Order: sequence, then C-alpha cells, then structure tokens
Amino acid sequence: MRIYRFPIRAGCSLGAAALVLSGCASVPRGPALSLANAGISTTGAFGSEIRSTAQKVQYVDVTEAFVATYARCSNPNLSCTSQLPPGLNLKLRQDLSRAILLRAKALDALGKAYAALKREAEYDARGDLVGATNDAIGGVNNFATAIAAIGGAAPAAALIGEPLKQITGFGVGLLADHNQRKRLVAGSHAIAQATKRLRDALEVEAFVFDSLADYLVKTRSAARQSLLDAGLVSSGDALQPFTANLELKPVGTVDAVVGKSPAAKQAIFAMLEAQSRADVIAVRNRYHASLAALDALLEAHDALESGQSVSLADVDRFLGELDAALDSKKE
Amino acid sequence: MSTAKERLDAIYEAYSQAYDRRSADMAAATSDAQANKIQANLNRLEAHYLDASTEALDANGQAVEDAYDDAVAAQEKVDRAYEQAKGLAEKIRLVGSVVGKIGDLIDKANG
Repeated sequence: MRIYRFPIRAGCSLGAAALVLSGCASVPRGPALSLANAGISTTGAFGSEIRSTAQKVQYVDVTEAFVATYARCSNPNLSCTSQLPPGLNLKLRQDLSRAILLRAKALDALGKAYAALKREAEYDARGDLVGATNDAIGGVNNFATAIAAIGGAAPAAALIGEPLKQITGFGVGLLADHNQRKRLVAGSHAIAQATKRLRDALEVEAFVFDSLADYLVKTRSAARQSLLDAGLVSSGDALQPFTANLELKPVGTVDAVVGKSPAAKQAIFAMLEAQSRADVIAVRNRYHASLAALDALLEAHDALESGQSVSLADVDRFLGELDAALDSKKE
Repeated sequence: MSTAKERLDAIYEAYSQAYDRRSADMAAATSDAQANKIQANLNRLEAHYLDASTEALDANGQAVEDAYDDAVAAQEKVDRAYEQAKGLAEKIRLVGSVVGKIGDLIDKANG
C-alpha cells in the first residue's frame, strides 16, 4: 500500500485519516505535494501499462509467423513454407503500436508536469512549473494531431481535437506565500485540464483496448499451444502455475506422459485457454482501474483548488488494484 | 443505430473466429490453393481489424447501417456453415464474403 508522505508546515492542519489532507489556509504545500506524488504514480502506472500493450502489438509479427507456419506445415498434404505476415499487416501493426505509444507519451508529459508541481510544492525548491505544464498540454495536443495523421480519426480524436491553450505564467512577480499559493493552485488547475482531456479521450476509446486485449492474449495463447504441440517446450512449464496453485508438483516425466495421452494434452490446452480468458479480463481491469485512478486524481485537484480537504484514498485504492493485477500476473 | 463499439466488435469477431478456426481448417486443407486462401482471408480480416482500431467508425446513415447488418449477417452464415460442418471450400468462400463485407463496413463507417 502506498503512503503519500509530505512535510507538515506551520499553518496546515493534518486530518485524522492518513490520506486525508486538509487544504491549508495559507500555502497548501502538503496537499499539493501529495497530489503531485499521486499524479506521478498514476500517470507512471498507466503509461507503463499502455507501453507494454504497444510492445506486445509489435511482437504479434513474431508469434504469428510461428503459429501460421506450424499450422500449415503440420499438414503433410501441403507444401511446407514459411508463413510470414504480409507487409500491409506489418505496417498496420506498427501504425497501431505507434498510435498506442502516443498515449503513453502524453501520460509521460503529464507525469513531468506533476513532477514540476511537486518541486514547486517542496519548500524553496521552485521548478519550471510553467514549462512542464506546457509540455503536458503539448503532449495531449500532439496525441490528438498525430492520431489524426496516422489513422484518419481515432475514436478520441474528435474529443481532443480542439487544442488546449498553452499557459504564460502563474502570477510571477509577487513575493512570499501568497504568490506560491497562487502558483500551486493555478498549476494544479492547468494540469487538471490536461489530465481531464486525456482521461476523457482514453475512456472513449476503452472499447478499442478491450478488443485489443483479446487480440494480444489470443495470439500469445496460440503460440503457447503451438510450441507445446510441437514438443518444443516442456508441458511442465505450462502446468507449473496450475499445479503450484494446487500445491502440487508435476512428475519429472510429464512430457512423456503428455506425449502418450491425447486427453492430458487436450486438458492442458483447455487450461491454457481458461488462463487466456482470465488474462484478457485482467488486462481490461487494469485499463479501467487506471481510468478510475485518474478520476480520483481529478477530484483531488478540485478539492485542492477550492481549499477543501484533499483525499487520495481513492487514487491509492485504484493504484492498489493495478499493482495487485500486475503482481498476480508475475506469479 | 449501431455504435462505433458494435462496429469494431463485429470486425474483431470476424477476425477472431477465423483465427480460432485456422488450425482445424489448415489440417483439413487438401491443396496449397485452399491453404493459401485460408491464410489470405485471415490476413485480410486481421488487416481490417488493425485498420479499424485506429479509426473512429462513427459515421451515420442508412448506408452504414446496411453495411453493418450485411457484415453481421455474412458472419452468421459462416458460423452456421461451421456448425453444420459444411465442406471446407464452402467455408472458405463464405469467409471470403465476410472479408468484403467488413471492408465495406469500415469504408462506410468512416464516412
């Protein structure tokens, strides 16, 4: 579980709950720092998830070459030739992967803006909040224009087609706490606008990622089955998560046993299929948990800007779900 | 009226079904020509899906709805052919028809 730690300053009160922070009457450095940390975590986790999807899309070329060639060459009536994906499919996969990566880059830019907000919120550590926030706005705008250039119009393009305006400053020129409060609130507001725009775009096209999850899991699952069927990998490895869950261990001669038993082989294929379905649901859940974390983050922005208590418990909960899904994937 | 999600789902479903059936179809193929057609249909359905994933698919109008209905109906014919264990040549022909209908749906849905 993440705990967002922040320095306690004179004039700021700390609520009873660990993650409920009071909006300070003067400079809300503590809440802003915690909000910034939550923003860094959320954009980082979501960006990693999306980047991983983009990489897997490109790798389909490799799995598909193996699966298609194995399917053809398993039939002795056919000539056995390498089945490489056509150039068009290769290009379309690269386009899709690049389009997906743009979302990750927009999230990276947002993460940098939150990092600048964090530096600003740290005592006497003023960062380039204007520059980083403009980078975030630029990242979201670039996402929209590049998507339109690649694919004509992604589902999200219409939603974020109107570019966000760059900012010019946050009340530079005044001195002391009043000025820093102004900068923090204005910075939070500008970053929240970019976050909201990107979050809405990512929600609109969530259904694209739903089918994409199935596409990726399906092609990887087919490759696993082909490898097992060809006897190129051990059935014991495929069975390991299953038997470990049952607190058992495959016999040393597992491959010989499976080789002689069509029933055992079919049961392993069924198990892999069921695992694939669970993987698809897990991928979809991670995407939706990431969206929910952005929602919770936006609520925290609102609270900070209106001087109310800032709660990051929901952000933490959704990031926890994301971590749990990633942990279960590693197991 | 169909939504962009329903259209993409229909496009993906056509590819997904063909993908799942490829292994058995290849095993049943009796000539290179048949095998080439099976793989070519699958490649084209995948290309349609990849293309559609970066498109809005949000145009409206009767032509779009007709294209959507045609694509869904063509896929249902394919599914019935597999349920009824029709010959491989007929299955390949019907999947080829879906490829065309899906392409038409993408064109129409993009306006």
